[in-house]
Amino acid sequence: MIMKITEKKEGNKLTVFIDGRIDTTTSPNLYEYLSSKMEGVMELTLDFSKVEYVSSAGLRVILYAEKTMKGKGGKMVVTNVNDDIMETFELTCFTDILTII
Amino acid sequence: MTNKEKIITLLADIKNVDAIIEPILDDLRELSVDKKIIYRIHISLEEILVNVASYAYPKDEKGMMSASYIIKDNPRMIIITIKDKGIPFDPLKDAKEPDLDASVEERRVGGLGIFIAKNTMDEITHERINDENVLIIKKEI
Repeated sequence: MIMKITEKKEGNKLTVFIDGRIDTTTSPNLYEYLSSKMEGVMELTLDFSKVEYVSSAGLRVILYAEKTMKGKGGKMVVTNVNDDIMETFELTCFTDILTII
Repeated sequence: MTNKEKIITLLADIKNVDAIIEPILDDLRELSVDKKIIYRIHISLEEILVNVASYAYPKDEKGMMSASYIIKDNPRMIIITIKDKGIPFDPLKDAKEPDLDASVEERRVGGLGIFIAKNTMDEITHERINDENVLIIKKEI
């Protein structure tokens, strides 16, 4: 499965558009991308409009991004999450940790 | 009508996880199973198979993993049996319980996948039979 990532940067605000699955195979790509791009970013938005599936490997990367942003006093928001992924977030109480809009 | 049992056996490698999962999901899609249920089965299977591919066999050894499945009627359900001949390992017991109340700083991801599987599948059991790990997942579809 191929995952495509595109971005929109405005000053220290970064919006990342993810297209595809965030699973065991693709989450390392997302991890590498985010770890290199979060430098200097204070507001990170992960747009899930085209994310169809997130497994626990995906949760790991999402948590990493949230911890990193929070750790430097920044903010992270996850947007346009589909129902199935939302259910996973609720089941694992990631809804308490993430800002989902 | 009870369908025939199908089986897929591949090298226990993370690269083969999708190759085992996709035919099962395809069969479920063909039966018009609810998308949400297919999603939950997908996550659970990925978790179990990744665990097997990662931990069943010692690093310098190669081994196989197999998934066989059958669909039964009344009520309609899928029974998936995942087997490997690796070291005795019960992912259901050996995975840590995730701390769902932890703060962002303390939160860890370990055990989450198995937690999701246990909470979305109707039944998951593990047995060690004839030097094989046998994990059975049951889900009404």
